[in-house]
Amino acid sequence: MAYTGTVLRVNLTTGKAEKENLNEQWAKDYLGGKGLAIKYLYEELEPGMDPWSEDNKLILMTGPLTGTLAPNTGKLAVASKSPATGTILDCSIGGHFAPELKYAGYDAVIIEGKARKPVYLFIEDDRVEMRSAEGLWGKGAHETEHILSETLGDVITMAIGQAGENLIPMACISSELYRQAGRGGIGAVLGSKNLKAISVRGTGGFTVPDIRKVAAALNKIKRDDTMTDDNMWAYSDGTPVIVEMSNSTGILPTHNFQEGTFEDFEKVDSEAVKGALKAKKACFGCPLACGNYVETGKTRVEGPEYETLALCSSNCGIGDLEAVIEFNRLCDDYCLDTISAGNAVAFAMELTEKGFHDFGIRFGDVEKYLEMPGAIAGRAGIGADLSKGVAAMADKYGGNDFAMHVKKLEIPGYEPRGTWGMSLAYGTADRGACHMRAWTPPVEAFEGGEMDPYTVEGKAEVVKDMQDDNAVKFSAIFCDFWALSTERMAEVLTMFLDREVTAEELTVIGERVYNLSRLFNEREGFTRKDDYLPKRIYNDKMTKGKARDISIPLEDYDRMLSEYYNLRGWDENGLITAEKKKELSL
Amino acid sequence: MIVKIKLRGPLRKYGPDAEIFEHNIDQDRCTVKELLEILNIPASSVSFVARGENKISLDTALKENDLVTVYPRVAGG
Repeated sequence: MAYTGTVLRVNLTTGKAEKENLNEQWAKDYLGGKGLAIKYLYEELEPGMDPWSEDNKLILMTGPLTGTLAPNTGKLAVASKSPATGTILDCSIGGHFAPELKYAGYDAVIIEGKARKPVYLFIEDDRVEMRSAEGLWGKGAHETEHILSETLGDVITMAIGQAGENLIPMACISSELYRQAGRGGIGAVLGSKNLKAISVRGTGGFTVPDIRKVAAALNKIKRDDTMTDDNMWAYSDGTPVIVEMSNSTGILPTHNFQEGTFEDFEKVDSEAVKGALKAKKACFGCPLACGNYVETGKTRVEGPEYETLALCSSNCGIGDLEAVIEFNRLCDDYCLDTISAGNAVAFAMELTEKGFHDFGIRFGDVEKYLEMPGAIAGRAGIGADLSKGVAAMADKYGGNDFAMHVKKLEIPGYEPRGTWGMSLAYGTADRGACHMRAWTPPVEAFEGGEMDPYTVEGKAEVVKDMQDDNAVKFSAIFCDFWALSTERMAEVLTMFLDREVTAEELTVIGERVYNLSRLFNEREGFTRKDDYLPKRIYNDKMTKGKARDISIPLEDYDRMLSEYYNLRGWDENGLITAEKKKELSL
Repeated sequence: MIVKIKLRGPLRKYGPDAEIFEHNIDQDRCTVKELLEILNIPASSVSFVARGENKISLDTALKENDLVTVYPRVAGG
């Protein structure tokens, strides 16, 4: 049994930390990670609750395989109600925090309330302490982690930087310097609770029956299904390999999604990143080691990942890798989501160039660009506007048609006009525009000819299936970079759970999890009207690259959205029908 | 017919240790799909092929001095 069966509930208002039993039925129905965290939030948060209030909760949730020898299972789900969007929010953070928490004896930590003064949480097995963080407040995440390691010794820490403290709705959480729970303002939830950091040291473990047999089976899986051509791109290049692929298919966001190709892409592509590569880095138990630790003469970071390259390079017109690396490092230290920060900077650039408002920053302006992370995190100068995100900027200055967000979450690095399924993926992602719920470029823009990228035909089914697959994958907690089948997931889970897990059961769990996240949002008032993209995607045609002269007609998008709702068993307004709720036991 | 080839990611192992290499194809007409076969690259390992900066189909006929890039399959995003 790979669950510890124990949840740690910490109330920052009262200072109490108490253990409770994991809800076993929920663990069976939702597995862990994303699904189980959302289930707890759905049951415990009052509808309409202000996500900035102390009534909001933050959940750190491991999975049933966390801390085992199973490959690519080292991530942690971090979930809350998003202060940026008002939707459900679950993020995924790599590194080593999740197994350390499991070894300390916990499947999950539920954090409630608000500390009167800044604190950090120290968990060492049964010992749980809230300690003063007044000496850490105002410091970046990197220095915070360093100080906590000096103070506590061998711990794994998740921390926020100044952006989280200042309640910036694009603030993230950082761990081991360069791993982030990135989106939806999850770091600002910590800030709103006066919680600077969480450090954990676990000295326990758990037993596995017949470890020789399990180890042999897992080694075979690693050899035959993990260390293969399908997955080794993560080791050979990591996500920067996608820069050139996106550029060649016309889906690399450029100049605030005005175009899908970037003339300087070769300055920031995978080969350029390799030129600065010093070491590969991996999460716990991962043989793929996708992380690229890079150094230039002036700066260093683990990254930049594809999303950072797309949103903070091409989308801002910055063809200077060293500048992008420095921007990335600053965002990591202040704890800013690079997807949202890159979007906000690019939107300010276009608003300036189009004459809506003079922010004093234009595409390609490296000097001003490098001032932006500090300005956003500290709400200084134009950073005060940018820190609120593109939806709020458009409300104040105009440009709604090209404020690139869905449900107030900025759009990731795949230009949907060149890969139409991605428009539906963004429109129906549970936390606002997200590429990690369904990622369609491989089946339409990239891989050869089977599916036309410029049609809505067949896309609703692709997006639904991907969303459900990823929902169960992120609940069992397998890394999305391992392209494994549902059958393989079932095989690995069966090794560690005291029951046989079937692929059919996992398919149902995936659909249940995705519907529960939709139900959470439905309860908050989200409906069909919220599942649309900015008008640029429907009205404006790009002028260059593979997807030139193409936009997605709104009537086509509407048809695809209706087909998707129908496949899901939702009504025309995007609400889950009573029959579907009954079918999924919601 | 000589074409220039770039292999990306784990596909590098199917060519010489160079970012770009030339290959002399001993036939007048060669499609992208045939080129992959000549280089012994499994089609199942390939995401797509680009000529210059644009994706081309597997049925595209190559021309003398074309620069083609072969991309690996990727997952996750």
